[in-house]
Amino acid sequence: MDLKTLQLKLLDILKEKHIPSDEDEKYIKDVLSSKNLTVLKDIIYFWRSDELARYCNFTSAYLKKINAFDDKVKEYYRVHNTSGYIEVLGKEFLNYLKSDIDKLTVFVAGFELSMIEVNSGSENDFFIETCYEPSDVFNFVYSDSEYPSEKKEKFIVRVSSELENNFTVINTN
Amino acid sequence: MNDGIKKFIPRETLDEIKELSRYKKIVVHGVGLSIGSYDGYSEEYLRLLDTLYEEINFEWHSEHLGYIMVEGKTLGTMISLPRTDETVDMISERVLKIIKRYDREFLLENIIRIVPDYDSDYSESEFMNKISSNTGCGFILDVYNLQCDEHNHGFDLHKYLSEIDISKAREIHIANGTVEDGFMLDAHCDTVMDSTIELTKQILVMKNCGVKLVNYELLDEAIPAMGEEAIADEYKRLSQIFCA
Repeated sequence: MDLKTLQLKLLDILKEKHIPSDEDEKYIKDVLSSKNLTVLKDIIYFWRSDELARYCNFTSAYLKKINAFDDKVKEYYRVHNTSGYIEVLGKEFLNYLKSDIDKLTVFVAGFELSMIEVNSGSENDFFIETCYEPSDVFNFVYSDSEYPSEKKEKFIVRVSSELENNFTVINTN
Repeated sequence: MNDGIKKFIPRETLDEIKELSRYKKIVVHGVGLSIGSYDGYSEEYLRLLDTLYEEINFEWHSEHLGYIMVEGKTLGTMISLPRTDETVDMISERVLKIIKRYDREFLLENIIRIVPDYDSDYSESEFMNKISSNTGCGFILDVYNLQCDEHNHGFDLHKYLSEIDISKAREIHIANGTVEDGFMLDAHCDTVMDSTIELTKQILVMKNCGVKLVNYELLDEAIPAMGEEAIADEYKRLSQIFCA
């Protein structure tokens, strides 16, 4: 096997894209059946999880609270090209979550991404709309409050460096 | 290679290193070059190195003998290379280009091997020696990585040390890590084991040993768990052992 073939196959294996077959070279079969592969994947997921938990603390805490963090990190790694730089990886991960099917995940990720932008010096104003009462969300993430319920009214969170604590909640009703 | 890495080094970081360079010698150690990717190494990494080269008078620079990307896709960890003629030729060509580009000594470091070993044309020592003799590059001997390979795969560490061209070694890296599923891993998260220190001492007294620097590696992530006081104590302990 030449270097190109070997590296592309290992990439596919790590990204869970490789479909094992009888046609696989002996080395690839050895890799697939090895404990080494499990350890290698554990290392990859451990570092991504560790980095993301530190960079996007709020979203990670939320995802952990709903027992979705590990799966989201693994899913993100499998599907996306992950940067080795946390500033890039963190933002890309949050952007990815902004398209999640869970509306609360979308809000949490969108809010944290905006806060990161403003805390990094952005002078833009960001507006994040949600059907959850933001204080319910914060209480759920950081205390033992119940999972927030959807409200009929809409809330808009404005994130801006002009505001005290960089954000405020606007109730649209 | 489109690797999506940072495009610049912050001005304040450069200024801090410049200030340090007034009274300390600076060496550069990278993790983003991916010299072993079949489709080319990271040009973005080299552009970052260009900035350092323009602004900082560093003594030498170094990278890991492995790869972290394939076709621009990040693997998420560093993977060791098959020790084949194809790899030797590819790495040698790239090392020569790097040496020409920066006019500084360039070192390659042995990395821990997690993937099963590929049927190879060279032993680990032959592989390093061949690349070095082809290019004139030096080595970093990561002693803890060698210990990991010994533990994880039965790698003959002492045979390796007797065969490697020790005159080409410029740095030794020492560290500690974790054990997961029976595998020793280079997590760089703890004080150095006595066995690592003893092995390092043995290397330093080897005939023709070219080592000029012993580098204690610790990741930022380990700082909260270890605590600053413990880290300072470890630094003092290692300094007393290796700088006496």
